[in-house]
Amino acid sequence: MEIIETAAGSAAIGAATEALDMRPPLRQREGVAGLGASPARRRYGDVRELIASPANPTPLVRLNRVAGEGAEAFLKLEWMNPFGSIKDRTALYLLEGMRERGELAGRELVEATSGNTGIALAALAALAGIPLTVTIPSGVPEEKLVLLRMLGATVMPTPDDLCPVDNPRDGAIALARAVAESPAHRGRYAMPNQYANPDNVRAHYETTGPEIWEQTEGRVRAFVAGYGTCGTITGVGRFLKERDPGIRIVAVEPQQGHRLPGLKNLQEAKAPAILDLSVIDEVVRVDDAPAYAMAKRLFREEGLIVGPSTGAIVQAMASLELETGGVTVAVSPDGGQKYASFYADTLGEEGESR
Amino acid sequence: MTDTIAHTRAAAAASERSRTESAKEPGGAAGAAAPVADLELDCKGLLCPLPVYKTSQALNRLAIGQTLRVECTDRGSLADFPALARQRSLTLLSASERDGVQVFLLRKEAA
Repeated sequence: MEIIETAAGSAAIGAATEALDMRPPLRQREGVAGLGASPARRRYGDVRELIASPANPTPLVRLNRVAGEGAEAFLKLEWMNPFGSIKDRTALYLLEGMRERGELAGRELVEATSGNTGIALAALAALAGIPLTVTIPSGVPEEKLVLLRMLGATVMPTPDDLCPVDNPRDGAIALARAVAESPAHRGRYAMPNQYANPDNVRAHYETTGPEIWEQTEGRVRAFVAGYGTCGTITGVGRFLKERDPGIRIVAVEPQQGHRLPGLKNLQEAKAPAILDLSVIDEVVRVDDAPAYAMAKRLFREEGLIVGPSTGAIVQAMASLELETGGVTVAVSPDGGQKYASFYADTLGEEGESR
Repeated sequence: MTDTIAHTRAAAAASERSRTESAKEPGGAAGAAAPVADLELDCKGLLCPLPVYKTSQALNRLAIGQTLRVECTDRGSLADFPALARQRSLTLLSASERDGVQVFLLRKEAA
């Protein structure tokens, strides 16, 4: 996959993007002096080369304490991606697809996101000199909003009660669509629309899925991921089912009114258009309390600084009756640093470890 | 994104004059006798829920008792603005429609 075109020189974020198509790709930029990229030495010419792919997969780390006796359970650490989450893959594929279709030239971007897609899009858009606006549902931690603004994105927080007529939980999506489609904006905004864009699925079908197959040497027997945009579960599920229809694909769904950014309860939010239920064998529902309790166990017993959604996903995995001799892989979509304020609420007074 | 907000009473008054000159007959509460608003918001050509979003943002810049005049062309606004008024301690002073443009006059009340 080609790397996205980037601004030559020092074009500021927010500058006019008409010249986008004339900008040379950074990786092959001529006349860059000094050391060239050397992935074998983990030396790169551009941060985008760090986004995971089968040639550079995110790590699989075995869970030795929280997953139950005898289980061969692995967690795929998607927060080892350069912008901090599994959404780096998605954002790269979304933008690359739009660029190939000519949808980016001279336009700005707008997207609804609970943060991680926005952060990855903001970094990639900044590198390409494309202004980005993100609409954010309520319940997203302040840390993510600050990261988005640090990356130069325009942030539009969308209160739950913004649109009394619409489904409130989807207000951010409706707002992003309104920005993209309003006649007054004259087509100035392009919307990647991760909830409906097949490139979101393709990212996981072409990278995450093959990585898991390779990294487990074909021994994966179950895969666990959350309902979110449903790109991961659909893309990885489809890839693994093609390899072996007997591989169990398990989706994790949070409770209604949950506090697990990135996950979706499909009773309160519309099922994303890219969700393919035919690749999903079962759905496990996890409430907030056990999800946060498992996140705490992952910190303390496995040394894994994960986000709350990982807690939900591993909690679901721990509840499964797993076949012996088979490998189970669960996804850890992001790390815990961005949720310090959420985790603080689950802890006692300073000085206590409860 | 660009806001097209006229911040001063003078600008609001000028816009009000030009509007009422072209429409002599007093149609609804926002007609010739319409009061001048403290803040004007042009949401013409913006789809729901952008007018409500922009109105919510603009309200943060108003003091209690000040008024906001919003022009919209998305017919969803006809349902949204009364609902917004109920949610956000606002009085919907008037709502009218002419030539496909809905005009709402809102007053910010004490919460």
